[in-house]
Amino acid sequence: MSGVTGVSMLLSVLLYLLHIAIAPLFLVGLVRKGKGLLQRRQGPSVLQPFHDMAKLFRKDETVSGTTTWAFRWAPVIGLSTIFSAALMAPWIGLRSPIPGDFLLFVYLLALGKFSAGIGAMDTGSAFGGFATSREVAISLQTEAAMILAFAALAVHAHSSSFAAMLSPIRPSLHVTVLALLVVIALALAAVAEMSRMPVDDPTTHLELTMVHEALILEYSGPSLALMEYSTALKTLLLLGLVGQVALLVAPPQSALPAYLFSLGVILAGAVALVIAESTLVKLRWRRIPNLLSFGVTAGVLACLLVAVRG
Amino acid sequence: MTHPLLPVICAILVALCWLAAPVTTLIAGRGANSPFWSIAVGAGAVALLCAGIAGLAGTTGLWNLPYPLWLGAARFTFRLDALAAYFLVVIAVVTVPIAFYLPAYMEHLCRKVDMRLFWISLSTLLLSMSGVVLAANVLTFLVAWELMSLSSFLLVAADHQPHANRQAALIYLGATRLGTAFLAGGFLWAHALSGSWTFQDWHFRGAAALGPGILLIIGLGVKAGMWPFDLWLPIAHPAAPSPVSALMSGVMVKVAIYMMVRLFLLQPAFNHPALGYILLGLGAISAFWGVLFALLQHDFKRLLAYHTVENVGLILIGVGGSIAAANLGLPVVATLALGAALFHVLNHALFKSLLFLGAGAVDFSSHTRDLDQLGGLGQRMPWTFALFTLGAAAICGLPPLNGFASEWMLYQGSLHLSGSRVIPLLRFSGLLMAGWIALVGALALACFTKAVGVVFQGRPRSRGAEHAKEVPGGMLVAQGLLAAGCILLGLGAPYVLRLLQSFAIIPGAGPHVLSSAWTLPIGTLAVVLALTFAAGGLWLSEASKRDRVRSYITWECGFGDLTPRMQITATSFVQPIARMFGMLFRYAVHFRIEGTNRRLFPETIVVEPRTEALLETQVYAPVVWWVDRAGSWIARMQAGSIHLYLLTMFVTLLILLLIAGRHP
Repeated sequence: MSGVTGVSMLLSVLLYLLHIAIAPLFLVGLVRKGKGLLQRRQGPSVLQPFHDMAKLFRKDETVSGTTTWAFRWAPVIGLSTIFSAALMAPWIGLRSPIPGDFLLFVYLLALGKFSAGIGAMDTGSAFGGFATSREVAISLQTEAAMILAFAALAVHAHSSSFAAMLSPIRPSLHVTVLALLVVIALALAAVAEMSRMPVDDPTTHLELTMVHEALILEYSGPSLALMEYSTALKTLLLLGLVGQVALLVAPPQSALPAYLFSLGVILAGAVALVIAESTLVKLRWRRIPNLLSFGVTAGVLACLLVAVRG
Repeated sequence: MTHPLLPVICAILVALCWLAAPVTTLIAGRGANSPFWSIAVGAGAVALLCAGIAGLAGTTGLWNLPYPLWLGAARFTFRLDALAAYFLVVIAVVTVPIAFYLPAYMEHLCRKVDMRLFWISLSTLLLSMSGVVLAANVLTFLVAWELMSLSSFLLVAADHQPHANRQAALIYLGATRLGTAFLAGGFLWAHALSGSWTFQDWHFRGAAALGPGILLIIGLGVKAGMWPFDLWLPIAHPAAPSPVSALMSGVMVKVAIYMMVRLFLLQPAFNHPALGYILLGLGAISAFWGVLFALLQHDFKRLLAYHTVENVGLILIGVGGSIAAANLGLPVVATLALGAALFHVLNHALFKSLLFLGAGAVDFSSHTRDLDQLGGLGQRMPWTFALFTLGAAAICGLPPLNGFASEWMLYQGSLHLSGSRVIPLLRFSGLLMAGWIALVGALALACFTKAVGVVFQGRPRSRGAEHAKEVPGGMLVAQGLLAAGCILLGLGAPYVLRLLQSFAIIPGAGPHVLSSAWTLPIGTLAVVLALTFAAGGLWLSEASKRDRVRSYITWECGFGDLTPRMQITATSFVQPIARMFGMLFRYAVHFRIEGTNRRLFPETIVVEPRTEALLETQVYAPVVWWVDRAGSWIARMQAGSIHLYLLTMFVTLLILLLIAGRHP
């Protein structure tokens, strides 16, 4: 029996690593292609991000003379935090290689944000400064929303580990409402964390209207590639996690359907991103707290539901 | 179990080392700054560490000072147990690095500060803090407490040339008087009820515990910097020399928390659920209030001092939650909350001292603490920068450092409260508390991104910052020791929890509650992070070796070189957050544009954001004003007229007779 679990564990680790390696850029390509199609364009090839990445890795780098190690290390720290987080959350429906819990997950994301922030501030550029300021201001609400929503699930499951929180439970109206509220809270937080519309516009070229793009403005070559890759992986990871919560409503019974359903939910999330980015406009900076407060409210309501029903 | 006499020997060594400094300084001159005194301070701290470890290993005891060392007919009594030993360790682990830091740092203060007074006050502060922790009765406690307050007052006033420092010292003195008044009131009340001055004889339950308990909470809360008594802390802590700020913020506030744990929680002298709810509520407000005001600060050390208010708030959430849960019959929740609070006490002592020593290093080499005058120090002081950044990550609770470990325990406490069989309101509060701690954590992250970014990164905003140099080795060693502590306690959290559960157990909880609650794969995480960091480091060095990295300027949009003034300032960094919470401190931006043709050719443009803390202007300012008025009115009686004095005495006598006469 232990041999079987050993093999399945190894398989799951390999699957996770495979997805971490390939899926993020594929997702980016899909989203870009989808946006193109929705805007009646041909759109770039789905494999274009892979080519972009390869090109960036072949390039040399330009680094500002004002910077220190913080600037050079920020892409590495950012990627390794997201990588660790991706190994700790069961975002493709299989048991994660490392048994993580939601607090560690949220705080790992925060570590990535901290390193990106001091990387951007390192250049002495106003773009980096303002981007960091906005990033941390947005994260006030996203972190609170994520912690509240996950905490509601954790109390429901009597454990803060992802394995227990996202394991299939008997469907009921109570669970459906809870999952719905948690999905709303997480999805709104994720939109901000992924730097997507309507919080942030990943395609704009006006630096002061952007958050994430201004944050990585000074990076070039391989460092920029690492930054882009971290963002893509984070997008995939968050979509996958939101999908796992959504699957609580109708949990698949065995490993293979769980895996396929999870991929389907991630794909659905990508479609939602495509539609949102093609139909919505970016919110004014001052209106963003209003949007994110819906996420916090959904988190509080999820907590209330868990507190009352037990 | 160690030899029962070991603590006594350690105590004698500690006393010898820490008394050697003041005695010998009397011989030395005013500007004396020889490493001898630092060695004495450090050696005393090592001896104290031994005593603490002996206490944690299970050696306990009760000691009375022999006859001539009495105070009148009352005895000085000291008691060592595991809880006291734990706090002795907290004092010692901060003092040892400070001993490394002192010789170089005090060099630049030698001419401004009377060094004899400095060494005497510092030794007294260290001795009296240990005395408070070990005190077994009210007399011993109050004597040590007062010595602690007065010596730290002298240290705040050490550099009394600037007006601001004198004012800070005065405000601090007022705060300590207020605190001691409440403490004395609480102790007198407890004595009147029980007839004993020994803490161990007090077992108040129900309504009897409430009155003295609240007075003691206020008295201790003033020292701990609990909201709404936190006003003095951000004024007084930064005014002292940096190693002293580190001691005050890192250790002295913890002494007040120690007394709270001792009096209200472990074998509580005062047990009433309301005390728990009061501490919990005030702690929650302190955590938020502290970090919010830290965001708005321009003074580097003041920013750090406000973070002390925040972290004291987090610790009080743990202590208060533990009292409340113990009274609700939830020993597991109570133990988790207490474990989180005690763990955070140690963690905060380490990273807050590290940050204050870092701020001191910045002050030392750039001669300013104003965030708007700093910048670009990362290139000039690389070690201080790296160590400060590590401390900042630790205080923000980022994994895998120690701040994360204790905040994680705090989250576990609130989640366990919500998962237990209590009324829905309490379950909901537990969940909301988790969200609240998350908000506080995110605010801390914002604040320290600002601090690191504005102080150490970008380009220098003043000549002082431009010509800054790395500080001497001793100061770096001190910061390095504390940073190593932050990493070790983060990775070794399970061992700390195992240590804590040997004494911090609420009756009814199992013996392994804390270590079995720790389910984090922090070791695996550390391995994954270390491997990826190593790979990244290799890759970076390879890239620079193969000459694939070109150094150039920061992108300036093609408009010519950037100036330091074009960088983001501390004020504009926090503007989005300040606007979000504007109703709490009345955030307003004032524009002033002047000139003969001010529309087209303005001569001066001044934009100034103003923040006004409503608690200070609407509550404290009127109170101070009335106290001042009443004081000057009462002062009229002291007019030097013998008739007036005689009249006062007569009236007093009459009133006393009237009161006494009613009771036969």
